[in-house]
Amino acid sequence: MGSFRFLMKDNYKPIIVQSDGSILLEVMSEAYEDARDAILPFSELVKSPEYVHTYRITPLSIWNAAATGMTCDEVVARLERFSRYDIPRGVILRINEAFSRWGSVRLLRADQSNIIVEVRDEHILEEIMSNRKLVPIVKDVMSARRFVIPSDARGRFKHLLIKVGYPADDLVGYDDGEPLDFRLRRKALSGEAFGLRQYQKEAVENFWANGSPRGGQGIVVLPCGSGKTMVGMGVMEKLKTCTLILCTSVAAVRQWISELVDKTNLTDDKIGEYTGPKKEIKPVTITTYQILTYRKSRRGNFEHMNLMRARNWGLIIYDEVHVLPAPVFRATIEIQAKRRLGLTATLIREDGLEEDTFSLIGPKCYDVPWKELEQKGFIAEAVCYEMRIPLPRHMEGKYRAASDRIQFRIASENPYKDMLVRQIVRRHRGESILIIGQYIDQLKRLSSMLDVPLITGSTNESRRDMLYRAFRQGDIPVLVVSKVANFAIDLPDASVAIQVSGTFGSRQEEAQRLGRILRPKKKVSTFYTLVTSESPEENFAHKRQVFLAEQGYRYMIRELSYADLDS
Amino acid sequence: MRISTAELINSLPPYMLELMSSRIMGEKTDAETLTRALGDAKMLGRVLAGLSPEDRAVLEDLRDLGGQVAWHVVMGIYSDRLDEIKERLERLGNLGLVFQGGLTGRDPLILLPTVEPILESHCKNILARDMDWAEREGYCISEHVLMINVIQSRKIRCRPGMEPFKKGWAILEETLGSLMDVERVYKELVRLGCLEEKEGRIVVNSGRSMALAMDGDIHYRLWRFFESLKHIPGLDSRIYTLISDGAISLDRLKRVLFLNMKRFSPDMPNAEDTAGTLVDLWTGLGILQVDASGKWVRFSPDVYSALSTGNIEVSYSYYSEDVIVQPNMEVLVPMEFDPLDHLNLGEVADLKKADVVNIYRLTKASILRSLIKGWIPEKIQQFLERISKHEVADNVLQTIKGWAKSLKEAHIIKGTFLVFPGGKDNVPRGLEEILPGIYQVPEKCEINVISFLNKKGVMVNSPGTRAEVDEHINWGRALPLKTDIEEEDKVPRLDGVYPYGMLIPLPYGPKRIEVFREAIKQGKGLIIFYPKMGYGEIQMKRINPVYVYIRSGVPFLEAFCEDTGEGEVFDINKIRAIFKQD
Repeated sequence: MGSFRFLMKDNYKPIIVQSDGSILLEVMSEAYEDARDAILPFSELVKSPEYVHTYRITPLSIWNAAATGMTCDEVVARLERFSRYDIPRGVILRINEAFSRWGSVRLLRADQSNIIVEVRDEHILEEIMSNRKLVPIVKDVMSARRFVIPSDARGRFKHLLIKVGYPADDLVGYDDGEPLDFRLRRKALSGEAFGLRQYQKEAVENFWANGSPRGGQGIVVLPCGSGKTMVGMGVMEKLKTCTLILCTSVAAVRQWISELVDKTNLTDDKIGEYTGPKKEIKPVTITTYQILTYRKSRRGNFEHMNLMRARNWGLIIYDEVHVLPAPVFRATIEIQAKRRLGLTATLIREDGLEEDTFSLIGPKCYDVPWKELEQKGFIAEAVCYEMRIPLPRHMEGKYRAASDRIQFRIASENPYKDMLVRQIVRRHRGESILIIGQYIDQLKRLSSMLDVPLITGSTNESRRDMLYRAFRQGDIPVLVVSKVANFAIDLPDASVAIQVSGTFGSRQEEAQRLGRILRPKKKVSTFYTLVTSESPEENFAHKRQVFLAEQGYRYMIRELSYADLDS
Repeated sequence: MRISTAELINSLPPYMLELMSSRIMGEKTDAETLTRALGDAKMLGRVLAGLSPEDRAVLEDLRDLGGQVAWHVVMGIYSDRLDEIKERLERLGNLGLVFQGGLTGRDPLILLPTVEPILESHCKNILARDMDWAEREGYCISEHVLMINVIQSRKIRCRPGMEPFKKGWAILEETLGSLMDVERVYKELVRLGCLEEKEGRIVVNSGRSMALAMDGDIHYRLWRFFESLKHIPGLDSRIYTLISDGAISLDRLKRVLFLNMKRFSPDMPNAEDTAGTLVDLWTGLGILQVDASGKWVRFSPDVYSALSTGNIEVSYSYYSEDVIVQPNMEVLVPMEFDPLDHLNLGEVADLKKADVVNIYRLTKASILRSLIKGWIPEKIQQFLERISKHEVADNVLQTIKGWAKSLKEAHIIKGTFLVFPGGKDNVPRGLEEILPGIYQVPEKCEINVISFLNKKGVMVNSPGTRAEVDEHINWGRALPLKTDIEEEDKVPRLDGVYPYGMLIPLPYGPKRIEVFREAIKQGKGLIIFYPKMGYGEIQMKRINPVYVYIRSGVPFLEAFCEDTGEGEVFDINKIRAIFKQD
């Protein structure tokens, strides 16, 4: 191969724009950071393996950019500046088209009960008037470009409008809500100095947007462990209003409560927990999506959904907004006058409801990739190891004769895994270690072998809480948990995870689970997957490998032989 | 063979020589003197300089048509302004620059041969090396390599005649449609023999595909060049001679193409557009390079070298080294990647998306496929490490090793016995086990058994699965390109050659008689061209017409002949032409 480099002059340019609108960004390039900062406002990070990250330009990402005041020319100029090759014409046309749609429908306040909708072109009004779902919302047509809708239809209108390809520029403004004295402490109750980091402050400011109607709704995208909760508290301090916080689990509710107590002036009497066991409604109330969407029968009412209107909330925070369930979306349609903050590590939804997130919660208002935070030392590195081990020779015959399902089980419960777990635990002595598995028998065996506690789905809540607390405090260094248990909890201090068995779930499930397990700490986190060689486990492990590599984790594979294991 | 000026002058009838020399030189001379005068470059240069650009353009057209051109071609080229062109030709004929064979007025035109080099020197003295030439970007067979790689990894069924079914086209369109004209590339691959039909499936001929990738880029470009001109025999040589190692203006090249297309087929519609399309195609393919001003073109050096010497020089300088093997098993490949390595990559990885940068993925199935084709894990590892811009992640190499290890092997002997000690689970149902681990393969079921086992991750060694032996592509046209094959329009010499416009061919029917009645009325003398009795040889006679009469339906002219000094009767139907006198 020759030494001449094709397009040498452009080689420093780190991005490649594909014709489907995806952007490949070369990480090793000197211009990487500049290019990333340039494209991030109008694209979504899809995957970030070691060498080339993939971003995606979509109408939503363009509207997100347009919402911040960016223009089409600016987007194209940024792409051209960093693009190694010519930008495909189709991509430019699509960007143009998306920009031309932004701002073509604006919502303005008329009076308390009405909203004026202003459209850029007459044909948009015609399109709206010919849509059988939108037309009933229209109360009065004022001119060829203006009409009136009732205030309570604000969410529904925006939701339907985006389905026909028009994002609404919502400038109606918000209800201020019930005031609340809310301040962040400079020193946490735990004694640690506390203050928002620079990127957290930026996220808060972007959401606030100087108090203009453009702010007050939006999504902050930050990686796991980077302090999204802190951003939420920063926004609460800015607004000083009663706040409803929606989380994914009871454990997350409790964590919010402990963080609020630790880092703000709020006292216990101001913070309410609205979960299965407790139903408190206080100036700051924290609940779960599950309780909001609970109903006795499939056709019954969502009994707890009234919580959204139970108080004059001035702010609603949606934690992990990418898993927001559909009924909560529906409820959110009705509360568009409330300020809404979404917090997430990814905007990608398995159910493809990104549009709903955009129209009902708000556009992305802040995004920073985790690699940048890692480089700046805010979060620590995470490494994944796949340990491949053979099946003991005496089990081979039984394994070959078994059906696929049984083969998977035999491979999962490979006795060599027990030896390996012991070695890994020994190697990471002093660290908090989590052992995760699918089969209870195997987990019981490990628990008794290592003499450490086991948490399964059947462990009662008080014991669970006690064990988590002890684990967090470092009193219990090793905890064995079943898959069911580990998905439902948040374990902030685990720095080592060993997955001894289990299948690969959905991308979101894995992201959630592994994201929490690998929640970056101040030192390197390690994730081990133990896999029996030449078994169906390898297929699941491969999917996990690809997923983790795409998340940017370093992934190593170690093949152990009989000799290694015997020694 | 081209006619020389001397031959041309010698073809003039003696009486014409007199007339012409006195008109051009002011006195009657012999053929040799006239030849010398018409070969005087200085004199011709002065004459040419005095021409209007339009008249000169006509001369240039004649030159680009090879110096002589059939009359019906002239009519085809100038169909929209025939009268104007006739006037121009007449002017040029009077200057002794353009001739016409025969007396019918429909015979070929001939350009005075000595004019050609003078015209040429005025427009060609351009040295290609003095200009800035745009470097060619990318290579042309990347599309073909991509399609081969898609077909390698997907099962595409086809009808007899290698026409893929609708689903097959859909697969190709979906994967490659945004980048290329899928149908054209597919058909080209079929014609080049890189794709074949096997048991109703399109399969890749490895040998020919390798040949395409190895020296294919330049070969392919030349092939496209010849293919684009194959409907006009000899035009490729003509273009090659015309441009040679120099440069030519883009406009002239288009005009030459237009003229030659019209020469081959005077009724060809849209010849002008077709000429433009051809030039665009050649510049797009890198056959031609365009200079910085965008007005001049030349043959790309590698193309010219191949055309003139027949040596195909494979250049590596265009190939990009920016291949990235990602830890998530993706391989990102730019379009300008070395086609041979690109083809090899298609054996070990599946093409997922063809785009500005192509995205491949290493999968268990692709690794299995490569092992069947004779790769070994170490070779795959070395290959990936060699092509990758960065270090290949450990997990990628380990995963490939793991997949390779999990692969089971089976053998088919003589298409009848399957030797597979790997357990009955993976053996197709219905196969009879004649000895432990040896199964009988039913007749004509070998392919199905192999396909079944491949799906189960079993590599089957059988004579049918071995790679094809080295095969070469038949690129068609032989190189170097010979320049001496030129088809000229035949010039009938029977009636001699005349300066264009000095003769007036007589119209048929009553109009012919009218010419003579008019001359009688005006009392004008005429010079007529009339066949000698018995021989058919044309002779020129100076006559004074006296009387026109018709006997038995045949018109006759009674006239006084100045050459013989006697009265003579001429059969008007036999008079071939009259000389145009001022």
